Amino acid sequence: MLGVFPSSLQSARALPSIRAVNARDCYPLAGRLAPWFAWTAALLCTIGLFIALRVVPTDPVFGDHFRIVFIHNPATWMAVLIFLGMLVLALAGQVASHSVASILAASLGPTGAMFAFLALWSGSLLAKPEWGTWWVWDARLTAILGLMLVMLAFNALQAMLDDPGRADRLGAWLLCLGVIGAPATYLAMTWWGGVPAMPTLVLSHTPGALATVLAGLLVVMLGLCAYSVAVGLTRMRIVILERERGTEWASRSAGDCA
Amino acid sequence: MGFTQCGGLCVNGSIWSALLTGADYGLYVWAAYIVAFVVVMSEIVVLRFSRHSILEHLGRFSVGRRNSRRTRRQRQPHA
Repeated sequence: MLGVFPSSLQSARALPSIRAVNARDCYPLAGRLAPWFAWTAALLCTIGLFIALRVVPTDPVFGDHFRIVFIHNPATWMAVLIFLGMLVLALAGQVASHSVASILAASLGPTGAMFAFLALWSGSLLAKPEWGTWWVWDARLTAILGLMLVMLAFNALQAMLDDPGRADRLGAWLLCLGVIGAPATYLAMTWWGGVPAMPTLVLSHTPGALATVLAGLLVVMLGLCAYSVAVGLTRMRIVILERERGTEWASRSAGDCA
Repeated sequence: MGFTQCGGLCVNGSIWSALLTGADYGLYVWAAYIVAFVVVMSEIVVLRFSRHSILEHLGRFSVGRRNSRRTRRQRQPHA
């Protein structure tokens, strides 16, 4: 039962333009694009780091401690963004029987889990001096923890199962459960959890300095987006080689990049 | 700080002085940034090893391992 998606959804299999793209075509394309995204990520993250550590003035209330938000907020946004991207790709892979979408979803899993971990870690460092505790069962924190566990389970499925098709199907179901579970966790913790939502860190900068903070956050966010694409494309090449290792073109392609 | 006197690249107030002299941003800020850096670098290293592993599985070896015993055995399976 777990492996069956509704037949009405599978009618999209007839889309020739989507199915025309296969792993063999994507492999060299990913190899050409990944370095561009990697260098863009390095540039943007360096600029973002400079803005975060040097350009942005010290906050009058929170001091220099608020500089953690330049790690925390982009990491949180990226964790959620990658999770949603994985969900869309995994569903596209199942509905349209599109192997490249499933491969890309599998490639993004470790990066998403990494960003969720960074969000939780930096969140704890942000919370300790401000709120006096490393962790509370706050709705937002618990939802991000749930996302991280779902992505770790997704990665474990991909690593454990030898049949890639089965791993993709189960992974898609797992992500569906996660996308239901994360908001449900948030609402449940808000309504019945008994732990009130932790106060949000409101920066007390002047409007000009606040614009600099937002610009820094945007630059770091774009840098992490570029990083995720670069790492995702690189890992996609590895996953493609693993899945196509029996074919002649995979051996030849491996020879080209060895 | 001696580091801030090392010349044009490392003048006081640059990003390097902030990063390497531990400007008074506090332990928590540095813990966040350093752990983020280490985690990202770890992912890149793991990615690199994964790539090497699959290339090895496909019988393609990097330059340093082309003449290893295992490679020679694979080249001459009937020897």
